[in-house]
Parts: sequence; C-alpha cells; structure tokens
Amino acid sequence: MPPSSPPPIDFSQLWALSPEILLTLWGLVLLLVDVGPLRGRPGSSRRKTVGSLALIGPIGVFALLLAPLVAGPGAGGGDPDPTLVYGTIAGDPLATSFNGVIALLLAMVIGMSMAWDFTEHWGAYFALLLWAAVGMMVLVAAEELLILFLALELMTICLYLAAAFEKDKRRSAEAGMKYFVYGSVASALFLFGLSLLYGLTGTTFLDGIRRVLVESAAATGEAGGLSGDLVGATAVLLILVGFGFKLAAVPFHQWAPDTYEGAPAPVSAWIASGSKLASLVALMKVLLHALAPWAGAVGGEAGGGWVLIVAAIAAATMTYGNLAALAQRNLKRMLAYSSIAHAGYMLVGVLAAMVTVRSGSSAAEAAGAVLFYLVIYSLTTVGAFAAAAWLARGLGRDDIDDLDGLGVRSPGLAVCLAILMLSLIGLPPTAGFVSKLAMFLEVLNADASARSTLLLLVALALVNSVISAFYYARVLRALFLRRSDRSPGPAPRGVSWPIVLAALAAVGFGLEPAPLVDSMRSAASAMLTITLPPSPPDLPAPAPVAAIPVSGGMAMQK
Amino acid sequence: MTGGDIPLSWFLLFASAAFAIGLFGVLARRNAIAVLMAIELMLNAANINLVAFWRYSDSPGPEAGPIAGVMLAIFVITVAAAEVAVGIALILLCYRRWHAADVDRYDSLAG
Amino acid sequence: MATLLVVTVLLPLLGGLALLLAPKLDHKAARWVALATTLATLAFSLVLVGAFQVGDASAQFAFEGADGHAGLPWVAVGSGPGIRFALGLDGVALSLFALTSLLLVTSVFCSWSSITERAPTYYALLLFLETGLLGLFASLDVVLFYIFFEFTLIPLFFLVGLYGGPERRRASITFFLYTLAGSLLTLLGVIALIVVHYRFSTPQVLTFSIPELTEGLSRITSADWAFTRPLADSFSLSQFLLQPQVFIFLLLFAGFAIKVPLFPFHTWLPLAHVEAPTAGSVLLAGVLLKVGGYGFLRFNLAMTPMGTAVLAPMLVAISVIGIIYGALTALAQTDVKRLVAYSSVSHMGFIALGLFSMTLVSVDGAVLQMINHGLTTGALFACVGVLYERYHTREMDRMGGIWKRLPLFAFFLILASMGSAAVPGLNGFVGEFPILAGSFSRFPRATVVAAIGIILGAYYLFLMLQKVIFGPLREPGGEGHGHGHDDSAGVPPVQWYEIAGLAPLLALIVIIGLYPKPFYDRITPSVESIVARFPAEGAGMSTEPNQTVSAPGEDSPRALLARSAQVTAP
Repeated sequence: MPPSSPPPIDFSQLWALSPEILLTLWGLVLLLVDVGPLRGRPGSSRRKTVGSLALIGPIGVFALLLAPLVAGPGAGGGDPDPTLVYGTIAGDPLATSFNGVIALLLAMVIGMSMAWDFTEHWGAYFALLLWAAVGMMVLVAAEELLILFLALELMTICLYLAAAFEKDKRRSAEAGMKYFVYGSVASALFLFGLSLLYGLTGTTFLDGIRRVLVESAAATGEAGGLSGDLVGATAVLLILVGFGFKLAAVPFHQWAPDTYEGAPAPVSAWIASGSKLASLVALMKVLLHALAPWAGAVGGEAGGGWVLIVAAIAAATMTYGNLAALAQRNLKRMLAYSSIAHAGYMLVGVLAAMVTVRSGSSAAEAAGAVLFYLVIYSLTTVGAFAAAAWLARGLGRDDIDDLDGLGVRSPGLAVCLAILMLSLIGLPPTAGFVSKLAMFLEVLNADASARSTLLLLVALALVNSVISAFYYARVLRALFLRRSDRSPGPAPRGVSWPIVLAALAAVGFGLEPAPLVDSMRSAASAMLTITLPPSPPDLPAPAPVAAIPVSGGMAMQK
Repeated sequence: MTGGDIPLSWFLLFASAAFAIGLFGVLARRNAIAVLMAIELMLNAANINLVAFWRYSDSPGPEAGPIAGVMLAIFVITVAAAEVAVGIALILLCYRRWHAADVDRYDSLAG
Repeated sequence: MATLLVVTVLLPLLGGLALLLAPKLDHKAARWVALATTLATLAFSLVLVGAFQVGDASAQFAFEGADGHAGLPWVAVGSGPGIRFALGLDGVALSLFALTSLLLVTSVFCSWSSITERAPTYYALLLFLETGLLGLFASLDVVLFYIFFEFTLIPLFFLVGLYGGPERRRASITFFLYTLAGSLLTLLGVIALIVVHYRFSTPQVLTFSIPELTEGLSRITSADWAFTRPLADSFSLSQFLLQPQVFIFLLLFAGFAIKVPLFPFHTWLPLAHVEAPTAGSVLLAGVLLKVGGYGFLRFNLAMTPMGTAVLAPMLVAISVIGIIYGALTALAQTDVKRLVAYSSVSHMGFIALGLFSMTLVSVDGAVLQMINHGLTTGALFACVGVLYERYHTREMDRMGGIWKRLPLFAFFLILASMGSAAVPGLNGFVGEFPILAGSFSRFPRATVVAAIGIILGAYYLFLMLQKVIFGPLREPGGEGHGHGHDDSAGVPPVQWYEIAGLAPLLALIVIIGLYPKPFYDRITPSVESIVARFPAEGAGMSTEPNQTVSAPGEDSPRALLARSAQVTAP
C-alpha cells in the first residue's frame, strides 16, 4: 500500500530525463512525417529524408547533455540526491555518460541504416530504433525493478520488430520470430524471479533489496550466500537466466546467431551493442548492488552464491562463443559468436568487481574497467557490423569471403576494419587491448581468497583470445591477402563514417585511455553508491513478506 | 491484517504450477500461437505472485516506495498486451513467408 | 638526450605515416623517403651510442618525471605511478637498438629494386616495424614493452602476407597466430609478476616499470615465493609446475621461446623466412628473433631467477637439441634461404644456451652473439636476395661458380658465411667462444654436444659456398636455352645499393671479430647486474631453498667467473 500522500513530482527533475523524452517525441514525429508529408514518395527518397531527420534525435541528445556544461557549473550539478521520480531512476554520472554512449551508437546505427533499401516503412523503422534507445537509456538509469523491467521490455519489443524489417528476406522474419520467442520467455522468467524477490524482501528498489538482505543476514548471523535458501536461489537463478538471454550468455545464446545473421545489419549492430550494453549495466546494478549480499564466496568453502553460477556461465560463454565462431562463414554470424564470447569476458570482469565490492577496496575501479570494456566493445562491434551493411548493399549477401580484395579497392576503410578486428582480438595499441588489460589487472588485483578461481578464468580468457585471433584473422586475410572480381562498390557515407569513427575510437582510446577510464570510473562509483532518496529519518524495520508466518508449511525462510 | 482464509502458500503454489505449465508449453509446443499462449501464462503466473505478496504483506516499509505489487501487476498486464500484439504480428509475417505457423518450419538459418 | 631517444623511436613512425598518406608516390620517390628516414634514425642512434656512459649498468636517457619515476604518466592505475611512457637504454638495449637502426637501412637497400608495386605502403610498413622494434628495446615500462612487442606483429604480418612468395598467405597467418598465442601467455606472466610485486613489496606499490619491478622482485624473500625448488625435490609434476617462479617463468617463456625460436617452437620460422621478401627476412632473422632473447634476459632471467635456475637443465637441453637439429636440417636443404633459416634455429640455440647457463661469461657472450647473429644472418639473407633477384631461384643445385660472374658478391657471401661459421678473427667466434666457455663450467656435457654444432655449422655453410660460389659456372637462367654459359647480358653486376646495404654489416663483422672490447664494455655492466641475481652456482641443484640474491663478491664461483670475463673481453 503506497504511502498516503506521496510528494508531488518535481517537474524540474524531468530535465534529467530530457534525452529520453526527446527521443520518444522525435520517434512520433518521424512516424508522422513518413505517413504525412512524405506519403507516396518512393522508398529510397523517404529513406534519405527520414534517416536524416532521425539523426537529429541523437544530435539533440548530445546537445541536451552538453547544455549543462555550456551553462556553466552549478546549473544542474551538485544535486545531493541523484535519484529522480521517487528514487526509481538515477540521474547520476552513469546515466549521463551512458546516455551519451547510447546516442553515439544510435547515430552510427542510423547512419548504417541509410545505406540501402531493405524496407519500405522507414518512418516506423527509425522510430523503433529511437524508442529502443529510450528503453536502453532508462534501463541504464533504472534503480527499481519495475522500471527496469519496463525498460527492458520497451527495448526488446522494439528490437523484435526491427529485426524482422528486411523485406523479401525469409531469414529476417525468422530472425524476428526467434528473437521474440526466446526474448519473451526470458522476460517471463525474469519477471517470475522478480516477483519472488519482491516477496522475499517486500520492496522492488535495488537499494531497498540490498538493505533487507544485509539486515536479514545480520539477523541470522550468517555471512551471506544462498545456501539453504531455496526460494532466494530460485529468484536469483531466474533473474540470471533472464539477463543471460539478453546478454546472449551460454547456455541462453541460441537465438543470437540466427537473429544476428537474419536481421538487417544495422539492427544486428543495435542488438549487439546497445542492447548488450544496457543489459550488462542493469545486470551489474542488480548483482553488484542489490544482490551483493547473496554473492557467496568465490574461494569455495563458505556457502554458495550467485558468484559460482556466474563464474561457470562466464567460462562456458567465452569458450563456446570462440570455438563456435571458428566454424562460421557468414560475417554477421561470426560477429554474433564473437559477441557471445565478449559477454563471457565481461562476466569475468563483473565477478572481479563483485569480489572487490565485498572487500571494499577499489570497487569502482574494477566495475569501471568492465564499463570501459563494454563501451569499447560496443563501438568496435558497431563498426564491424557496418562492414556487413556495406556488403549487403553492394552484393546482397554478407559472407566473410565477400570482403575479398577490399584492401586494394578501398584501402582506407580496409585499414579501419583491420584496426577494429585487432581491437576485438585485444592487440595493442588498440583500445581493445587496454580494456582487456585493465579488466584482467583488476581481476588479478582482487581478493586473495578468490584469486585462484579468478586466475583460472583469466587464463581461460587469454587462451580464448588466442582462439579468437583465428577467426578475426580470417577477416584480415579476406581484406588484404585475397583478390576478387566481385566488389560491393564504394562505401556509402552512412557506412564509412561509423567504420572510421569506431576505428578512430579504437586507436584513440588505445593510446590515450585516461579520459574514458576516468569517466567510467566515476560512473561506476556512482552506480555502486546510489541509495534510496532520503525518507523519513526513523527507518522502521523492513517487513519482508517471507518473514511473516505462513500457514501451509511452505518454508520460505532460511 | 492477512486477508481471508486461503493461506499465501496456496497462491504461490498455484502460481508456480501455472508458471511450470507455461514453461513446459514453450518448450514442448511447436505451434507459434500455442507458444505465445504459454508465454502469457508465465507472465500471468508472475502477476499472481505479485498480487498475492502485496495482499499478504504487512504495511510496507518506506523501502517499498510508492510502487507496490498491484501496480507492478498492472504494468505487467500492459506489457503482456504489447508482447501479444508484437508476437501476433511476427507470427503473421512468418505465416506469409512459410504458410505455416509451426516454429520448427522456420529454418532458413543454420541452427 | 632523453628527447633525442623519443625522437629516434618516433621518427620512423612519422616517416611511415607520411608515406601512407601519399599512396600515389612511385617506388623511386618512396624508397628515397624511406632511406632518408632510416638514415636519420641511424644517425640519431649513433649519437645515442656516442653519448652512452660506459660502465653504468642502469638505463640511460630516461625522462625523470615530476614524481620521481621515469617517464611521462600515461594511464593512472590505483595510487601508484601507473603505466608510463618511459623510454631508456641500458647497455644491452643500446646494442640491439643500434643494430635495429642499422639493419633497417640494409633492408631498405635490399628492397631498392625488387619492390615496385605498392611501394609506399611497403616502405611505410618497414618503418612502422622499425618504430615497433626501437620502442620495444627502449621501453622501461612493461605495458609499453608489450604494446611494442605486439605492434611489431602487425607490419610484419602485412609485409609477409602482401609482398611475400607464393605461399605468403599461409606463412603470414601461421606466423601471426603462432606469435600471438605465445605472447598472450607472456602477457599473463607479466601481469602475474606485477601482481606478485604488488602483493609482497613493502610498501605496496603497483608499478609497471621494468627496473623497479626487477629491483622489487629481487627483494622478495624466498619464503614469499613459496619455496621454489628443483625438480629433484618434488615428486609430482603438477606440484612442481605450480611453484610460483616456475609457473611465471613458463608463462613468460611461452612467448619469447616462440620468438627466438627454441627447438619445439620453431616450425613457423622456415615458412615465414622462405615466403618473406628479402627485407622481411633480414629483419626477421636480424632483429625479431633477438626480441625473444632480449625478453629472456629482461624478464625470465632478471625477474624470475629462481625459476630459471630450477628449469635450467631442461632449457639447456632444449637449446642443445635446437643447435644440433637446426644444423642437421640445414645440412639437408637445397634452397639457400631455407638453409640460412635453419642455421638461425641452430645459432639461436647457442644464444639460449648462453643465457640459460647463467654465468656472466656465457650471458655476456650470448648478448654479443645476438648482435653478431643479426649482422651475419642479415648479411646472408641480403646475399640470398641478391642471388634471387638475378636468377629467380634459390636452388643450390641449379647454380655454381658464381665467383666468375659476380666476384664482389662472392666475396660478400664468403665473408658473411665465415662470420656465421665462427671462424676465428670474425665476429661469430668472439660471441660463441664465451658462450661455450661460460656454459662449460655449469653444463659440461651439454656444452660438448653444442660444440659439435659449431663444426656442423661450418660444414653446411662451406658446403653451400662450394656449391654456389666455386666450381664451373652454372647459371639457372641459361639452362633452358642450352647455350647459357656465356650469356652474361642477363646478369647485371652488383649494384651500388647492394654494396651500400651489405658493406656496413661486413665491416662490423670484421671489426667485432678483431676488437670486441668496446662492445663488451657496454654490455657487461648491464649483464652483470642481472647475473648478480642468480643463485650461486650449484645452488640450483641443491636441496636447500635458494637464496635469491647473492651479494657480489661473497661467493667465490661468481667472483671467479667475473675474473674470467676480463680475460675474454680484453
């Protein structure tokens, strides 16, 4: 039962949500423009007009994000309470910086979409891309499970539809269908886990869940972990499964290769970058903040927890992803498996962050390293998918062999693609190397008790990097060492600038990672320290539902 | 405060059973419409959980915030409606391409 | 001087970028740009050689940062000094640094007439490779070292893959993946070293600086290293491998052993050498293989001395197998380039033997031999390139009596071969003799077997000379026409650029052979500071826990060895 008189919403807070609001409204405008003034025009001219209009969305977001900087310090900053709308949404550096990243990725995806005519319904298509971005932004900012669930749904429902947008292609419809079936089952599992968690703790706020769990652990005198807590374990497991689907972690990855291959390249890029980015940030918020008391020990002797599950998932994910990628001929399918493998690496980083969160030292640095990795991965992956869009436009297909001879025909873009591949392998001097190094250093720097397990994971990750070199090298070989008489033609501007931008980012942040590392660190520390808005000072004891006596004999307590 | 004669655990057992049936349906049924129905069943099982937990809880502490189980459930119902709409649209699209509503037939991509 | 070092390292990068931005340049203009850049780099590095303080073991020409650490801060990690852009040269690095800049000039001359297509890209790749190599030898920061280490892969991959022989794709991919696989394990080992240092040093400092790590790791007591013991003591192999220093040693070893390459890891080398363009082979053999040896010295020997001591018998055995195997395989080759490639495996075995014998004399010799091998093998590959350009074959059976056609070339080839075969008075001898002398005191039997390798080396090289240089004139091009013997029109004499490329190498071969003292003077102090960390002789085989640091002058065997070094280096 809600408090009797909730404080009225402070509308000045909406300023912090302006990027989301802008993109939502702009999506509607695009829809209307497409069915209104542009009605009856041929598809390709509408593609150009609506696409250029759509680009105004992310540009507007940049303008909104930069406005406080231009207005000078103190205009919007210095707010002691970083949460908005009753504490359900965070307006912290994490949300701000990731709004920028998501807008950048969105701009790149829109650019790629303008490369060729794969649909007639351009207004709807670009509106879906924009709304998916809104879902991602809210997902990153969510501090409450309902908002988190709604954002997740907004993001994925838009993407289900966008994946099926390529006309005349059976595989596109199939991609959307498979994505939908797997995705909505994952949502249902996640929701059921959420409902159990709500029952156990009596709250849906991430910080509230954390407090309840900490206090109940203190009450029972146990060090935490999940041993013996069947319902809690089920809840955690279901939530992990839900996130596992979104991240395409093994064994919940089956949809990813089919969807990435079947969907139009820009949509695949959007699923691989934006959706994965937002889901992983949300996962980190839930695991590192809300469920941290249930983490359990990594070393092994004291009680199980989700840490061991995540460790197993991480190991399986990176190994399976890399081995399966070796056998692929299609560029998008190869990138799908590579994105599975990268999800595995990032989960290793999440584990390290968990260990450091518990030991209290340099938690923000470990979590920041994961965020850094995430941003770099997203940018490079979008660049790589842009190559697939280029092939699809020129040749109507996107196999790795179709890249043959591009090193001679378009040397500049081929070099940029090569840089992206090197960054995905993790070779210096690219950002991929710095991000891997930073993350694995944090892993090794973690608590001594956990180090042997984590060391094994890092060793496995490095072995996996070697394996990954084999299939990324195949792209390099196609680009530079082979000749072909079939050419996709010169790259359209919408394809070339995302590739160049991603390559510049890969080299730039490889040589000078400090700015991004610092901002990701501050984002991570904001993520880990966020608390509920100041409520009435005398905080009564929480009343988890499971603590009340339940007649019927179902043991829900520890 | 706890309402009625029916204990909480009954609701929970019912919800779990519905959820399990839904999960089984997703895994076992091959007809796309049936899969969609099974997903709905799972979502609604979660709804029952949410409402039951809300109804049986003591006066929630301030951590609970203004959003309680019922509101969650209402939002979930709308989300479920959106999912059905999207799902039906996709099924129609696939039906037009394959002339079948059987998810196993959609196999243009190497599994 | 610190600025000059940075400029020297970055100059080729700038030259390369300039070439990349002008892809329409024809090959004549491109080669002049490349030559100017490499010559300027060589001049700068010679200035550095001149400015080097002889007798100082520490790294010179390093920036002193505001916070007391070398170099400019680059990436902050925790509260420590962080990853820094720190460059500096000690004696060992200086020698290899100068060698690199010299061999780059040679490789530009090697490509003078053979590369005509896509020449700007080609020379740009060469120059990128030079920056990678110079930076690698000058790095004082492990991460920087690793970045340059991996960076060298990329230009070489394209050099072999784009400008190589018929099998170039397979060669470049094999080379790329092989080296990458090893180097990632090396990365893990380096990270492990950093973490070990961070855990056990007091006060805890997270440093990435190579000198600080070397210094700090040597101060960690044996107890903290969790009793690294020789194999004789522990019965289970897994327990043995999990001893920290052994484990870290093996991780580091993986990458460097593939670079060197030591015996079981050498399979990529002949393929890459045969397919690479001449300049690629010169650099591969001349400098890139030295990266492995340099890594052994900098990381394996200096940072995990106990692990080295424990594993030394096995490492020496591998090296000796490599020496004999390489020599025997070289003996069986009919392709001159393959022969030189396998001779590299054999000679690098000598260098590894010298390093892992862990005596001052042998390590000293090994470092000098790295320079020598760079010069002689570089010269040999350049000679093969000269041959190939004229006859488009490298089959020894199809040629003979080249002496009569190209007398100057024959002289070059003979001199380089004799240097490689360790004929006294030339540089191979002053490098290999100390190696054998030094390792004999510790591993006498292995040394005797290795000495057979020298004899075999002389045998296959002279066999090659006999076939190619001496005997009646047989030229491959003429055979098909039946009247070929006197058809000299198709075979141009040795060109000025070929002489310019080879002459400095040959001059150095003679100079080092006659008067090695200036070279030893610069190498020895740096080597001495590393050798000082080794357990005293014989401790590696005893059952007692090792002492990491043996104070200089305290134990007689080391003092004795130091004296004998003075004999070798007059």
